[in-house]
Amino acid sequence: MIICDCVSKRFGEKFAVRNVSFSFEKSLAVLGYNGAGKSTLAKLMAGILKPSSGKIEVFGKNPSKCVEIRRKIGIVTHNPMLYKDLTVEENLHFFSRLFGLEKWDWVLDELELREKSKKKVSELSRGYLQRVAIARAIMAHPSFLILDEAFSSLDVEGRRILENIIKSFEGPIFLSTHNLEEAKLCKNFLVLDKGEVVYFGESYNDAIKFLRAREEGSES
Amino acid sequence: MMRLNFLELVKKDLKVEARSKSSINQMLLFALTTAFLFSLSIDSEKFFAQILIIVVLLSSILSCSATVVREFEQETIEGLKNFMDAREIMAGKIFSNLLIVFLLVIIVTPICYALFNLSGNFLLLFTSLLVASLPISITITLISPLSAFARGREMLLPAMLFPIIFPIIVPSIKLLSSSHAGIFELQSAIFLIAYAGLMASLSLILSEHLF
Repeated sequence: MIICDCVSKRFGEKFAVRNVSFSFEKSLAVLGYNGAGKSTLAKLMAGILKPSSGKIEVFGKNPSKCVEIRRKIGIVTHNPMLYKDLTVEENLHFFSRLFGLEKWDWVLDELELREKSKKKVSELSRGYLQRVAIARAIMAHPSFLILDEAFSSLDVEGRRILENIIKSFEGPIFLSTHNLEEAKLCKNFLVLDKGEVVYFGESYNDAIKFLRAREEGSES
Repeated sequence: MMRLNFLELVKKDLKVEARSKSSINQMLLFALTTAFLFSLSIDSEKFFAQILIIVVLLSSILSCSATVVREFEQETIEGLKNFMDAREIMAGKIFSNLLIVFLLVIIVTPICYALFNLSGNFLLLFTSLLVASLPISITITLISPLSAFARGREMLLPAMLFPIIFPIIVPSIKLLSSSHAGIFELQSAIFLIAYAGLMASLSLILSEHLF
């Protein structure tokens, strides 16, 4: 169970997310326009950022305080978090060592990265960078997957691979996106606007309505 | 219990450093230029201890801060935080920087020894400089994350560092000067090692707030 209870995150005077509450077991699509607070919420859920107030629980523990829980979370953000001077293989090997994994190169086949494994990360296209980031996130068989704009910059093949990963993943998934089609992969929906929750529920159509209402509100 | 993950971080840092060579080249170039200029302009045999400390201190600021700041600039720190405890990250950075500064000392000491026309015990001078570089490297590692997001980072880091590093300057100079006379000043060495231990402990305690 993933629980987010009255969570706020402030950078200086500005709130990136404010009083956000929800809980889910299977999958959650977080929708919102740019600056809605989706990425901040993803990092809070992963324990990379600490909330200014409120409580986050992943499998009963606070991820920002418990590294054991963080190690069970696979996260992909729009920033690949890879070392540009190292090759794909060296990057993945480094992260596999942090997990103490003996076998990790199956992710090269899973993400179709075998051909690029000797290439420096700085030489890869944006789409392949994203594939390496996904490989890093799933290599240790995480129990909770956080995908923040993970589909962005992926080509058709990359999208197909990621969709398969999502469909076959057994644990909870947090999928932040502004693409409505991608959101359909999830069972719960959360709509954020300026850091606040405007909709949380199981209806995709209602989530879209709230999202469109916000769009029209901001245009008028 | 802290796992040995920090050793993986050390290996990775050294590999990145060896691959990019940016800060090592910068550090060596700066160290050798400074040593050469000082050797021409002042009585370097008389003031060699002061010059060596300045060279090691300023060169270390360049290289040690780079290993930490790079993680923030490339946002790879978030990837590390996903898998590692803040203390493990800090321990890894401390060891990486120690090795980089030791490399500097290994290269710079014989060059300065020849450049400054020194005639004392080389091995003693080398050991003394290694001991003096310990607290310097650890203190810079402690301060670097604080300056990572600052606009005038290059100016801010030395300004923040100076009051913290001040207590070790006199014992470092004493240790190096006495080594030239063939004496290993144990009192200064103990003080420097204790100060390094204090800074390392402080770094680990504060790591949760720094990363």
